[in-house]
Amino acid sequence: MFYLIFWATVILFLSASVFSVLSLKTDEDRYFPAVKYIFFAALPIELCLGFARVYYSPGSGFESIVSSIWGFFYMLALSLTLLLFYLFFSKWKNQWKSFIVIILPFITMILIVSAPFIESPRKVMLNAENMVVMNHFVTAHIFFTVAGELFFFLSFVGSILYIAMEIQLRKKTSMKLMYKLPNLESVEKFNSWSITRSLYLLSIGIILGLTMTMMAYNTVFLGTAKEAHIFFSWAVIFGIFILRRLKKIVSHKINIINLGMFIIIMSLFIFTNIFITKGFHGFK
Amino acid sequence: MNKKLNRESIPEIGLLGMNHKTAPVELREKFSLNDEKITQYMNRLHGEGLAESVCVSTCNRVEIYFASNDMEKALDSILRALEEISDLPRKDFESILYKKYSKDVIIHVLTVTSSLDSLVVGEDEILGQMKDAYRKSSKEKRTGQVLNRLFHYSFKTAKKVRTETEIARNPLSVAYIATELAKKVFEDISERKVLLIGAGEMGELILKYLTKYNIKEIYLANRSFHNAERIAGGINREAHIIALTDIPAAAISADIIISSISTPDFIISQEQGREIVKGKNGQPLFMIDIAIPRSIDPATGRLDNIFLYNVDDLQTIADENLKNRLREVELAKELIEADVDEFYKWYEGLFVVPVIVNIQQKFEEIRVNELIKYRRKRLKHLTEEDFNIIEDLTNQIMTKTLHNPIMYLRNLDAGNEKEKKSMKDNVRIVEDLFGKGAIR
Repeated sequence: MFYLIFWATVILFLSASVFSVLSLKTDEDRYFPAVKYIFFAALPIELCLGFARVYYSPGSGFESIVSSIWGFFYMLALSLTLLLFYLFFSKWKNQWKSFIVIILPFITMILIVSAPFIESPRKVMLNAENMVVMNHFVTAHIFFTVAGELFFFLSFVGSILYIAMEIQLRKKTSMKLMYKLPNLESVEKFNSWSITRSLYLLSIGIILGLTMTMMAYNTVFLGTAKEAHIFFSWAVIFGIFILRRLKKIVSHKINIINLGMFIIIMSLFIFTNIFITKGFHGFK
Repeated sequence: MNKKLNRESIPEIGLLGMNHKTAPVELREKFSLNDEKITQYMNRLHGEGLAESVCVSTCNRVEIYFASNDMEKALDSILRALEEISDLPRKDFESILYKKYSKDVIIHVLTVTSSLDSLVVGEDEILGQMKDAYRKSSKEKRTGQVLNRLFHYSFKTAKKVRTETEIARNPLSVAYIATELAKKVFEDISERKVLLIGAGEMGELILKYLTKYNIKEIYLANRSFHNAERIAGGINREAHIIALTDIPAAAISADIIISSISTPDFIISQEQGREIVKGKNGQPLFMIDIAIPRSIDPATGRLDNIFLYNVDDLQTIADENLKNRLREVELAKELIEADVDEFYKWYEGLFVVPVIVNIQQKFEEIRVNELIKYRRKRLKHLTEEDFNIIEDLTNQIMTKTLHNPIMYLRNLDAGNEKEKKSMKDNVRIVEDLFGKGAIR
């Protein structure tokens, strides 16, 4: 049953991704409604997937999601879906058509990448002291750090759209694609909005993490790869935030930096989560 | 009998017209009609064989859509009217006219209203012109059941074509393209400051387009203050008139610059462009240089946050947009075809349904009369229950007997005028054989 729901979710997101790309390539009026319907159908099924995981992992309950490597991917995909759901009703609704072309394939990719890890026994190992701490902070810590990283991903999406629109404007040929992309100024506003939220949420997540390690290990830094990665992410996001505030360099360059840094951080993120098993954060 | 079900009262539809494809402007202008003339001629034609009519007279076409119960008389009356209007003998203009009937009229009106038959495919003016022509005819009670439905149908199709294809999405006018491009840079044009340099006609036109968005501030820089004042008056907006020497300072605070001034040197050099970018604190600048020779250094367009377009760039976009529109024509035609079939089914039904009802009524009448007659005499001994069985039986026999003729009528197809004539003949034969008045 779990596999049935899992592959149903993957197929729905895959179809929505295909339609979203088609809506950009051809006449959006034909494909966009299909994307909307499939996306809104996929959301409850994706939620059911989490419940199915908890149900079919007797004894471990919610922990099977929080601590397992598959669960981590699932949380990323679900959070991104919920974020996309929120954006549909937010002030960025007009740009939603453009966001989905990048976000939906990304969610699909996360789900597909997670498939080999469904049966993986690897999980975050917690000792007795950690468990006490975990009950208090870990959910909030994970929520804020993941949310912070996801908002950084949104600014990455915005940067792609900015660069794509800028290329179209400088190409000076057809206006066909321009009508499918949001205007430069609104994308820039979105990028500032998302990087600001990314910084705040990640800061809260890090403070909670630091508090947890302080309580459990009497130190703020244990030298694990994940800790290093999160501090590095924060520094990059803070840097981009400052660059945007100071307005000392042009939007084009900031967006190039945003794009490049996200790719580096994302690669490191995958590396630290999948390949490094050392440290209390690692999936062993 | 219900008037709606009277087959003889349903007029056939026809069209007589000329357009930019069939007639040169020198001929078209001879047939051009103003509202007053349209009313005068069309009202007269209604006494001469036309049951319904809509006259469309634009710079690219003169068309008379009509419905009539006597096609030959109607056509002759229209041709006589056209002779009077143009002051030309019939033989001089008959070759440039197109005559269409039945389904071809439906295809034509839907194609025209959807702007597929226009000089500039996808332009939106024709829809308004068709609506106007229909509204006037309708107001003067020259339209009826057939043309009312046909025109409403064509407006619905035109809307569908505009929303479901990209035929009207990509602009073709240079001034409009410039405005659309500005909207791709800025979120809200109404918050923007515009600097117009020079008093060129195209620059003025772009400014007029932009002022539709209620832009925040307008700066006009020109050699002659008088011309700048004239432009400000033309757009009916308050504008700051500045000297050419003040352009660099005004450019820093402007978001959109339109230059149509011809000067021996660039009015904005690349170096000045750099200074403007610095002064703008990260804000983009949209520039249109429509002057020949160019007045803004093209190298300025390579600077970050500056989007510079010259007249050739705008024309390239216009050409590409036209190609995109033409690519959408096939899709639009498919939509039109589906709607034509739907409308034609309804239109055909107007002829066939009264005949079907007629036949059914006649058979029902015979059945009921015979049953009553037998009930009184030879079937007197039957119980109510037995008689009901006989009633059901006769009903079944009648339904099954009529099934084939009715299906035959419903499936009659008339694609062109010849088929239409044969269809009407067939309908008449079936009606004569089975309908009211046939069996007495």
